[in-house]
Amino acid sequence: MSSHSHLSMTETSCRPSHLQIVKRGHHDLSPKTGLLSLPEELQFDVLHLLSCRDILRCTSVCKALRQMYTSSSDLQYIVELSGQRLLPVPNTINHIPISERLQLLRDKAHAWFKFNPHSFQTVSVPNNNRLYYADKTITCEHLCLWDSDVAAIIPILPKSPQQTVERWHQLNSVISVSHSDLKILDVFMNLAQNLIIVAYLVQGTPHIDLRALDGGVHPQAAGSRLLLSEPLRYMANESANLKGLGRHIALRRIVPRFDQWYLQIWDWQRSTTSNCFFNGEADLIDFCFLGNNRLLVASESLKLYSIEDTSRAPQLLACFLLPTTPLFTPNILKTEPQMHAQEMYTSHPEHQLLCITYSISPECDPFVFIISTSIFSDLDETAAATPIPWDRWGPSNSRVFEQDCNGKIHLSGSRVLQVIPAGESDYSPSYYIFRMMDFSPLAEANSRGLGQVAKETSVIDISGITKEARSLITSLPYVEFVSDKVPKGTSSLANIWIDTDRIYTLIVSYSFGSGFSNKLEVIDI
Amino acid sequence: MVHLVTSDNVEFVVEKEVVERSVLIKNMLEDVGESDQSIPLANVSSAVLRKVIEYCEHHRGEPLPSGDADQNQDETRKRTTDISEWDQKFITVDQEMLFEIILAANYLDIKSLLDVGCKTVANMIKGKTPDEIRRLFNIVNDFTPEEEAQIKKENEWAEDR
Repeated sequence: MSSHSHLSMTETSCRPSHLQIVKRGHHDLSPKTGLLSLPEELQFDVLHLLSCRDILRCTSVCKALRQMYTSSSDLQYIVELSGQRLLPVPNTINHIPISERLQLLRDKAHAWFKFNPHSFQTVSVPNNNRLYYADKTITCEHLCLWDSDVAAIIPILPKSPQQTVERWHQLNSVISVSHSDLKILDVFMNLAQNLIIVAYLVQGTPHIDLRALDGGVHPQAAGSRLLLSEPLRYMANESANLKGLGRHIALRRIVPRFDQWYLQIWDWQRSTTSNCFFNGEADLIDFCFLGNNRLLVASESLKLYSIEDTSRAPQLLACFLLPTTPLFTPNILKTEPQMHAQEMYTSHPEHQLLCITYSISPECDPFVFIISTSIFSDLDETAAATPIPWDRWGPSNSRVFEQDCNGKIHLSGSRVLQVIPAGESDYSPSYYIFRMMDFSPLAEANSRGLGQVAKETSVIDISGITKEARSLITSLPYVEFVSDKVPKGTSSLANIWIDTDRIYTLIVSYSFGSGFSNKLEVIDI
Repeated sequence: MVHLVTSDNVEFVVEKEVVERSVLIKNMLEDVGESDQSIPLANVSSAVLRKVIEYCEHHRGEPLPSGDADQNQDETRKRTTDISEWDQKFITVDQEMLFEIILAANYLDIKSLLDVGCKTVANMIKGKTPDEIRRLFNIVNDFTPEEEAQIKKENEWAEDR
């Protein structure tokens, strides 16, 4: 019976009996049965269902709701995630108390600005003469590289050694054809998916083979070879690129001499064939995946396609016009959130960044457009029919910078790293400028740490360069932090990558005797 | 059959299977064992209990949410505010009744009904400005103009995007 008396006490506190006779009215300011009369844990249950914006709006309603927010780690955690444009990775952090998670997130946002380019760890890169020229990318704390014979994945300073992989593949054992006239076009490796895909030519005919990284046929694959719908003959100087995301893989072939291109997308888990392809002339293209069923293609404009069904042609969803006509193919850079076991957060798929670099004139440096992918969500059906002019989508959703020809750029989530050589000559710069930008709304709102907030509209005068537009006006807010780094001896910076915790710089140095050598400098952020 | 007596002294006779959707009553019945004695619900009026029983009748036989699953879903649970069609119709009541149902669901420990209630209130708040929320729930703005301006400035970032 003791439980009864306890429960009736709760009642009196949350539903005073005299209120039942009070009539509603604007002048009646006494509390009645309503939101504020709910016990605090129920008010919390309601607020917990809301989005970041709605939660914050509730905090400006009255002191009671504000107090509830400032004393609740859970609600602040929702706001912090949203403000940093992050999503938690399921089943990775459930065991950590919410207050600690909140602190971890906040520390992370601060840490970005404690950047010290002179404090780094060095990793040597396998260094025989061939691999110096190998294509290299970094994902999930692993370096992937390949050349004409070998593809390798090598861990870089792994944080948890049990989740690392080191593999060396002789490419002729990955592909199913053995022939003397064989040329590797591109290799795509995804550690999280245990996938390696190789595009190659045999006597001028292209093939694409896919395998599991740990050997044999990939258990999820529909087959071990993807078939091209139009196997154009190989032309001299043809270049080919593989890109993949989730169940999609795409091959782009470009034949510059004839201004021809061809792009085909497969759903490799479902079928080895597809009718999902484009081809064209003259206006060469670059592309990237946006989420699981969207493909963005850049040529004279940005075109968004649905590739949900790869048994038919890509369906145009929207066309975004660029402010000026690109001189060459715009180059798209977008990083995919990599699901690595130890990652606790992934960037929000609708609020990532992509980076589009293009020249508008041979006389000046290219421009780099940092664009929020939020413009590609919430499109209405009319978007496919009418191209969206730059003025309507561009200025408030992007930032334009001039890009040095020898500069490097990489991005991760809502952060962008631009590295520009400076001083003396471009070939032996005396130092590098590291320009780090964070476009997440909370970074800009709180201006945490050392960064400078850039909220004001930037205007780049291009009136002398092109007749199409007088200036490039952009205003996506961000926080910027700039630092210098002086290279050691006769070394130069060949490439950069950034992920949620680190910056990787690929340093090439030369010495008499051993010739060129590669190493990675890893900077914690 | 279980006998329930409300705060305004109305007796309800309800099937055990229906009334056991309330964890509070389920536990009571388990403690007491089979008995014809009526259970007093001093916190619930007859009008509210009628609605609660209507809800339990409709959802009878459905599995009760377990505590374990709840904890696992903590992080992955989409903070969704979708409500099924029947529940939506059921919960279309005036504000006073809505909050009474929430309080009763909380007191009687009927998790799914509490969810429906909280989601409904959340849906009412969604997309509204602070001023609209005040008017909706008849809440007095007790901030000074300076405090209000300060909070508005702090929260500005979430508004424009």
